[in-house]
Amino acid sequence: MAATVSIAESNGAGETVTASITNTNMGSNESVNLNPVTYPLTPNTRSYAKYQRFNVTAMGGASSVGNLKVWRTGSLGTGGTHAHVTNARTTSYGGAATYATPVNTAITGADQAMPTSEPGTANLGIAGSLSGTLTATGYSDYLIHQLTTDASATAGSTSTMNYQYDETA
Amino acid sequence: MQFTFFREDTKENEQVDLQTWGWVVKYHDGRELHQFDFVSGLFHQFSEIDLTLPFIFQVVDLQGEKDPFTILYNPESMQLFFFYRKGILDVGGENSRKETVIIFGYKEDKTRNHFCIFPSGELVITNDLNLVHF
Repeated sequence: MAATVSIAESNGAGETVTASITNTNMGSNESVNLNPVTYPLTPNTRSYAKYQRFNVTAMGGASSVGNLKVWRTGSLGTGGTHAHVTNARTTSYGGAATYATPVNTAITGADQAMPTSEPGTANLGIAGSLSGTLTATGYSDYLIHQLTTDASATAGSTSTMNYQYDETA
Repeated sequence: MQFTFFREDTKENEQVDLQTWGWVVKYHDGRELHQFDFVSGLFHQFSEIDLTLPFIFQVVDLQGEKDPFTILYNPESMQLFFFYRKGILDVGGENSRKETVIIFGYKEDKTRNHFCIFPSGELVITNDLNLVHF
């Protein structure tokens, strides 16, 4: 047991994949591991969306990887109204999202509030199903997520992302 | 230290790093199956256990520093399980880390009895896995 799992992020037209991210900062630029000081969000705008996936690059004796959960911890910011929206959900899952060049406008299906604690059941799927598993190297479905602010927002988010999976050996 | 696992569907060997804890099955006829077999150097998957037979199931500290946790498995009433819950947590934050909890136990009637070994070695027992967090 010891599958090698990282969080991959896709960016750009035609999808440039970064196999293992070091942060999931969001801002006014469409790029991986961005510096939010360089690319701050202007009030009443959305961040560029993140398209991220669980990335299994080696099974290492494991038989399957599944039960994917994502959630955020920390503050979304102060002043006004902030939201962190996503396609991750534990019920009425919309299936495997298709990659598109990330935008800073609303994305159909990515309209659920990002959980602020570990969800009770899987909220991101594999091959379009929340009960899906990876039995060989490969990717999960895309996790799409994005920050939104209103005109009264003053200070930005300090929240971070958490990713969890079960591995059967 | 690494162990070898032969994957049937790919016909390839995979190398598996030794972990802190591993399971051992002791059948009543004297046979044993070790997740990490120090004699052969092989790694065994949980699916290789013959769950139709009664046996002693132990989760063993492979450094030999702590006593094993033992389940007396009865196939007539128990459904045994063993898996790892892994977190990639606080990504990019001050407390960014990867953690693993070893979860094993059995389902009997409608109750799942989970035994969770945390990285510190603490054992948490629960019938509701949703109560267990990193």
